[in-house]
Amino acid sequence: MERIKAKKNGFGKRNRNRLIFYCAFLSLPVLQFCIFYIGVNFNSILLAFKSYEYETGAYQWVGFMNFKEVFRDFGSVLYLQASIRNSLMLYAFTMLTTFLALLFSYYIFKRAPLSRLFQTMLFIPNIISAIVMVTIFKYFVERAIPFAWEKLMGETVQGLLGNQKTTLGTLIFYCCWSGFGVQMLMYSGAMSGVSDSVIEAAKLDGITPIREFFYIIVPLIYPTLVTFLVVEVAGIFTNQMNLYNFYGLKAEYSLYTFGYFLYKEIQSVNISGYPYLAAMGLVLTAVAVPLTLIVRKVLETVGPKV
Amino acid sequence: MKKTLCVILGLLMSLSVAACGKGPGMTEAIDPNRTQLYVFNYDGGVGTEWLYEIKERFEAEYKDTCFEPGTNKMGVQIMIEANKLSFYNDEKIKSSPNEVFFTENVGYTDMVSQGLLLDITDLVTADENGVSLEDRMTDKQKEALIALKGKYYALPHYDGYRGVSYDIDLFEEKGLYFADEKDNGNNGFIISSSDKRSAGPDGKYDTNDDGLPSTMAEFFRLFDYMLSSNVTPFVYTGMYPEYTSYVVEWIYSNYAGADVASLDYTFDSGDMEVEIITGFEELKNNMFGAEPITEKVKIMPENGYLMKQQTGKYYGLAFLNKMVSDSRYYYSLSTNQTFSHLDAQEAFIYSKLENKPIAMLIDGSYWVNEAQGAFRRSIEDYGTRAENRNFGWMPLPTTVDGEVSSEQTGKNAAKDTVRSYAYINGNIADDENKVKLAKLFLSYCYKLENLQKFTEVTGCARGLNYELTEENKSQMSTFALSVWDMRQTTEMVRPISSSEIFMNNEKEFYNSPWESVVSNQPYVNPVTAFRNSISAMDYFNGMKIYKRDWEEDYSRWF
Repeated sequence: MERIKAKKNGFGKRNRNRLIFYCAFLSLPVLQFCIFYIGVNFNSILLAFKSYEYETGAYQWVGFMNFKEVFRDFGSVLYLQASIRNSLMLYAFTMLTTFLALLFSYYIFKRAPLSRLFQTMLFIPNIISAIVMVTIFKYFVERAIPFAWEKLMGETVQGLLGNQKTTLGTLIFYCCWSGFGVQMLMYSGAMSGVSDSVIEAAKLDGITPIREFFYIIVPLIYPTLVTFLVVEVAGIFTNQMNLYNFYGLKAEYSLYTFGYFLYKEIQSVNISGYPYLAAMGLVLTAVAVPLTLIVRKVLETVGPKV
Repeated sequence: MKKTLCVILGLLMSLSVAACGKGPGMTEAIDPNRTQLYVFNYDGGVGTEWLYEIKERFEAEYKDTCFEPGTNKMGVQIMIEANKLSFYNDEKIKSSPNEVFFTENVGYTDMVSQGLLLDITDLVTADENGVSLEDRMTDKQKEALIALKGKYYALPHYDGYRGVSYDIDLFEEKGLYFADEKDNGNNGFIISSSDKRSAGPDGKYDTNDDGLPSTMAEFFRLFDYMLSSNVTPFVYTGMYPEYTSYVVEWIYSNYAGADVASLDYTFDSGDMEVEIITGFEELKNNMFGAEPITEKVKIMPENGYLMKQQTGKYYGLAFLNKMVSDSRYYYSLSTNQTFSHLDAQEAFIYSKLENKPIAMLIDGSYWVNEAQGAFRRSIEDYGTRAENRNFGWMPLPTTVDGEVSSEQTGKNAAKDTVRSYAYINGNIADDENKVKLAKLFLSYCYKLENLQKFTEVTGCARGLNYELTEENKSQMSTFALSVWDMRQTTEMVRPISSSEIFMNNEKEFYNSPWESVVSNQPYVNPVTAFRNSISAMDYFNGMKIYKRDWEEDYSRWF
């Protein structure tokens, strides 16, 4: 009996020590999560219902005033309308890029000629600093392309960023291209997890590469694809389209996305502007959350079952 | 391979750890026998050389003074953080180790309201030989700085003008000056350097601006004359299109005058009437294609939106539109988004040396400080030819055409565009010794001889009223002297005001003052619209603020 008791005590002591260890181990990240995630977000929710008074140097409750301003501005402020248009357009092109990334990943997965070179080249933008990449790209589209055009066609043209007709398209292209490498790496990684025996069996049945892609590869990596598509939906209102890297805080209104608008405003607005931005953030979250959940549900419902 | 990688990673990590010890730009080791005062300086336009110069003298002067009673520390060590990456003009200063700041883009009301700055009223009102720093401020500065809490929390640092600089040597060499005799057979330009020049924008002979264009029409005549002499009129950065808006701002301020231009921030003209545009009459023979129809109104907080319709604003836009609508008038890369302000400075400096001369540069009055590297390189490349260059600050016109009236002569106005202030961090308020030291240092920086020295070293003026000695002037470059001369004949308009509307919405009135909507397309910079063939008239009309919108946004403050 005493031996059992001693064993119990020993077990209890070990458990208690383990518990202390776990608590000590987790306390810092949990505390950080509480302060920098829960606290900050809770505070920004409250901020959306306040207004800053310069006289007193304090925030006052103002109910839904900031929300009224946000909805009014959505209807009348042109750069917010441009932000909606550009954010959605960017999302549409990102989706298109996803399809291209899938094809490229399949090409690499099949170890087709130069696939390693493509893989390295397309992943380079993700390794090099974003500012360096943007600078190289700017020089390419603003100097190299007009120079080459002039040499080949004998006609002087503006750079692709300088020409207002091509600016947005060029920025969207850069955004898609610079994100291409990550998608490709992710999908080719998922594809490499597809069992060789499945592919071999399909080959024995005489499957063509196109059918293999659509009927075997895509269904088997579908969960990865869904994850990416859902994350992209959630990021519609936070994608900056690299505008800050290109223009700092001085981008033209017609190029704005919501991600850029919010970031720029936080950087440049004074303390009285925060409540308005908090309200706008809440409104955008109210749109993004259900949209993300719906897209996930739809993709899970309509997608192939393996 | 693995070992090499490990060594590289190890080195990189040790570098990052080493970088944690001090703020960026802070290179001096701490002297444990002295009291340290941490000073932040925004290392942009005026650089940091002036501060190192003051540091040396201040440390020497107080080397035998103890600033921490009860310790054996003697003297002071000014620890300078020269930083271009951050302005330190917001709540970040709460956690900053820096105690005194010289920085830019300061939202003064915002910072005072949050209690971020230390009260320095005693320092501002203290006498130095019968003159206090408060006495050196304009009435508008005083009123605005104490508007929120009745106390001073910052001192104006330096006045930054952004406009046009010109190459004096090139102007002399090519004779790009107007002659006093208009019908001299050379389209009104001097034939030889000994010809008598026109009185220039100030209307007085034998001054530095003799022969320079005095009206907008003369400016464009000069541009055409430059083209015939194989000179490109001007260069500007394509990377920062807002630089061209500085020309618009300057033309507007000059045309309207300081009292009217300051209404952009005060919204109260009292009995003074302001000219606004109510419509346009399109005329083919008009220099700008349209003649404004105007009326005069008094500006009050209730109708502050009418400030967007001022005649001067239209002429500023029309002037820029005409400047950028002819690609022969500007350097080919000025529309290129890779062409930075530093590239523009370099192109300007090198142009004459490479026999592809550019006459004018659009940039700030501090560009010479920024271009030190380019000047050095040009001397390395071209030797003595590149030494002792003479540049000047170009006075911009106050009128459209015809003769400059005596009313407009000598009443130039310019907007301060850098909002530069010096202040003490509020987070040292409880440290009595540090407060004393910080105030002592700040007041030392603002002693008359140090105000003068600042201008001598940087070529820029502090945002206060003072004179330079002949000795100071003898040490200054032609360019710095021309900027100083301009300052003496120009009334500054500073983006500061005691208006409730302004104080509560400071950045809205400061950021993007030239934004417009044309054909449902919003623009931040006029030059972007002009490059797309939008007229100055349409751009001006698109800037209009409607009464309903004004009341919705600001009626709670009037």
